[in-house]
Amino acid sequence: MECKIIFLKKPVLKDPIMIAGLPGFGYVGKLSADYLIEKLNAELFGELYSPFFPPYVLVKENGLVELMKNEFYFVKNINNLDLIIFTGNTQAISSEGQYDIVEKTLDLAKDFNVKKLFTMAAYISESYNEERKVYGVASRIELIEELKKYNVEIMKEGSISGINGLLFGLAKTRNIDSICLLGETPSYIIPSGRMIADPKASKAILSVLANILNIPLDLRGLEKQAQYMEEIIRKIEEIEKRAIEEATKGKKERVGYIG
Amino acid sequence: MVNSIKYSRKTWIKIFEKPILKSPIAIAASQGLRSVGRLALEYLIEYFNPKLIAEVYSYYFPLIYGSKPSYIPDPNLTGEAGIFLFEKEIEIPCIKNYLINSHEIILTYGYQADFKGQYEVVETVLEFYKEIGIKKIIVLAGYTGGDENVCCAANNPSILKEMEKYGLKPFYKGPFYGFSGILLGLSKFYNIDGLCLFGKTKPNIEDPEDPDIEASKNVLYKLSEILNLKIDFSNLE
Repeated sequence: MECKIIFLKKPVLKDPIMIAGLPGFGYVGKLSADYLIEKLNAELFGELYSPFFPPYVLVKENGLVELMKNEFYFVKNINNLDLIIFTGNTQAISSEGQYDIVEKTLDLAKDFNVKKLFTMAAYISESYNEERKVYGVASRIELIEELKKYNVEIMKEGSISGINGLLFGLAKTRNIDSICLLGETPSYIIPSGRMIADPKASKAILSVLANILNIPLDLRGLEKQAQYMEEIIRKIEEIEKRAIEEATKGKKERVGYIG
Repeated sequence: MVNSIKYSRKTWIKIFEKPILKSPIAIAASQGLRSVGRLALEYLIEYFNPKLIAEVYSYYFPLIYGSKPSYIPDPNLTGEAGIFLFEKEIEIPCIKNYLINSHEIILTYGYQADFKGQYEVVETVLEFYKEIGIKKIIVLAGYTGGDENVCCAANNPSILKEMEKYGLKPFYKGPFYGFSGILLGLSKFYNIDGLCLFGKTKPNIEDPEDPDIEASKNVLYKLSEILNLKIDFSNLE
């Protein structure tokens, strides 16, 4: 099977702006894209399937089976703007697969005459702020200057892995202006190795994006999600603390017994 | 051998007989959780003594898997190739397709590919299904975390509706790994109705593929009822 896009409909869009957010650290990109889709009532029009996705399917609550996929949504005429939102339930695991998917996505972007593209990603930081900072990079110096007006800290060096980085990087080769907005996040990982979403980072990104695009966007939903996640993190920290205490206690007792 | 088609440089199918069938269905299973599906399929092969009609080979079939269990491959651990040695023959890892002529049923005894090859080998099987006119597949597998002895999943809502008359409901929610999961997932692209029967089992962390015969039996009973196979289960008991 080759990577393919199945179109459910072909919307007529006027020079749409593409916004992409795939799952990555803290689910920052995906959470942001999902929130946009929900709040802007975006409509699904294309599904991308790839043999480079992890080899499993998801059985949904209704009993239907869903292949791993990426999706394209559209929004028409929001403050005179048309948007294409690109997200999905997974990323290709290999570099080969990620290049393949990005090229297909850029083919679609060219077909729809996309001239500007935003990707949303995570900026892992150990010294993160409660009010998450937004970092940014752009494909042209003029766009970087533009970003500074929106309180975006320019990322001078580093790397952006996965589709969110590669799509931003390769857009230039298709003459598409590209901007990557990165939300500062501690990237919580629970003891089982699973990541926890960081809605605060998504809120920070979307706040900047909404300002740049001059579109109305109610971000209160993400604030609620952030409160909920904080409660979960607090509980996990308590459990971890108790487990460490128990382990230490057991060790001391064992030492005493041997003596 | 009728022909040997290479669908890619790394996966190919040997077709020994291309049957002409009116409305065939396929039943498929592979290595998986507590071997529920694999055992059920082995029983069907033993019971019906079907004819081997096609084999799928692939560079992506390890003999020794890089990670355990075989159905959850690690992208970085591809395993090691090799062959099976039996008393009088050598066997190369492959997917075997059998025909029960009397019932127009293809039995597909799957084999787990490594992380990179699962889509490609499944597509090769589906191409073969298309050539012989398969319109429906039933995948057999195990599930944990539920109360129902057998539950189901499908690739379209009408099949789920149809299963209600057999008392089957979709109780399992979550990932479905490996050959059988991808077969069910990709079947919609080939206009094939896909149903999965999941037999309830318990996880065995030390040996995830440790056979659960009871769960396999439950799946077989339900399959027999759905297809009206009239299988004599006395040997199984």
